[in-house]
Amino acid sequence: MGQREDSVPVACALGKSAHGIAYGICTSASPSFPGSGSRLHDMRQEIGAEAHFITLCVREPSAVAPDELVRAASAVREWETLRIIADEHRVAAFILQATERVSLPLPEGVRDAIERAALARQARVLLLDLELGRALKVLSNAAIPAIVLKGPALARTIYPAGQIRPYVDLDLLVNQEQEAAAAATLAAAGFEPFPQDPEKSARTGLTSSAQASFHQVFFGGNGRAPLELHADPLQLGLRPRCESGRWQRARPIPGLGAALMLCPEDQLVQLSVHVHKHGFSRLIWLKDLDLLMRTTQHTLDWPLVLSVAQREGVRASVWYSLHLAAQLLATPVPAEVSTRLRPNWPLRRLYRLIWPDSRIANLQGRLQRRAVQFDPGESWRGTLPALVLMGRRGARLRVGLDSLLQKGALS
Amino acid sequence: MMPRTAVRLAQKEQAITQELSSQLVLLNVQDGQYYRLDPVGRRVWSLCDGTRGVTEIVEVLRQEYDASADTIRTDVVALLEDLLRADLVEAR
Repeated sequence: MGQREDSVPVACALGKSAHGIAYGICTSASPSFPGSGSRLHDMRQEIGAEAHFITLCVREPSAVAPDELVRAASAVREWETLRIIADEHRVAAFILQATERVSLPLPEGVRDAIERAALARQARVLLLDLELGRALKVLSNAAIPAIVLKGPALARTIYPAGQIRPYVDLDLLVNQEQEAAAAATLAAAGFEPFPQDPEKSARTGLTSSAQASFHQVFFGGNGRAPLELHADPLQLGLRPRCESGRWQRARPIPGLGAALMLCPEDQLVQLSVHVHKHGFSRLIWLKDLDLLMRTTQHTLDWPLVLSVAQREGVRASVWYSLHLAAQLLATPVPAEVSTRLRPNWPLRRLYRLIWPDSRIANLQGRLQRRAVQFDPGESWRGTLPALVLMGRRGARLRVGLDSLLQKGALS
Repeated sequence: MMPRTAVRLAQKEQAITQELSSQLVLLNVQDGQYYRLDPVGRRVWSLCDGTRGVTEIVEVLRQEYDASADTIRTDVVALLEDLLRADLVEAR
């Protein structure tokens, strides 16, 4: 076996011996968080053909013709760029599956490089799943119900068997009243609290009536498995309005014991807000929406989706996320639903200016947290985007004014 | 470090696996190292079930693959040495 490459980001850490055994180290790249990396976007100028091919590979087989894939592949010039983009968007495994499906040969070395990227992601999932089981067990022993958000829940429900849904961290939701107990339980079980959560430190200035904690971060698996503990799945900076209903509607996850996941309607809202919060910067998050829609389109309770989205002030997030999923992945979205979700014309125009379809289709979405998350601890300039672009403006104004008055009283 | 043929080879508990396309991802949860086994390596891994030694594993592969016993033995031993060094299998 060759020399190991310790302490390098997981996606790069892989070597290969002469005997067909590849190896690497499963490590946390750094204490960074999804959406924080902009390296790729800085280095890319023109990546149309690469982004197009990746997107087609991520589409469901029924949503892309084989010859379309072949044509798109022939336009690709920068295969290394393609591998980097596919990995950053966590869809490397889809490239392998799609090209295998249509017997499309990849240039020499490319398939191996993409396989390595997919392998690194899968190794991380193995480690995270181990820690997930451990976290759920200690929480269950402490009689603290937990909802598993995003990746691990979606991987076990909407992704077909054998298909890979990578994730880089764990997200657990607990009741707000049990958040402190859950944090103490996890810490006692060896999950090390991460003290410098930038989102958490940014919540100064919130009044107690609007306690809107974003999340606490822990590290399990000898520092290799980040775990985020949430009390609010939407993390908008406002007290959630539908939390009790969300818990009542939550359902068990097959194969994960007593752990719960959001019902499809709440899942749709949560995934939409999440991808919006991260500026539509990962194709895998749109794929989640795509598969959720495809697996539930005939049973989804749309009035419930509309009601939750309206009450939480995130109707436009759901509208735009589904719009983008439909554009990129041919996700089936009922026209009447889209019509009912979409905001007024000026707001639609603003959304398209701030998150242009073309940039997102080019896989260059960027994190614009302030446009979605509301934090009156920030300057008025920082809070203005969310005030304009998101719903519940009255609540946001009230919290903002409260915060301003508090600051005035303190100064 | 070559495994002696009299001993039996077994997967260690700290190794967890996941299929990836035609390959197998192996993770050593103790140190976070991960590995990829190609289809042949995957077959060797599956044969490390605590009931076989090197000779038995080579014999199974000889019946399944069109290669000489010497070639198979060389490759199997090399792979098993890697797996032993990676602390993923143990000799009993």
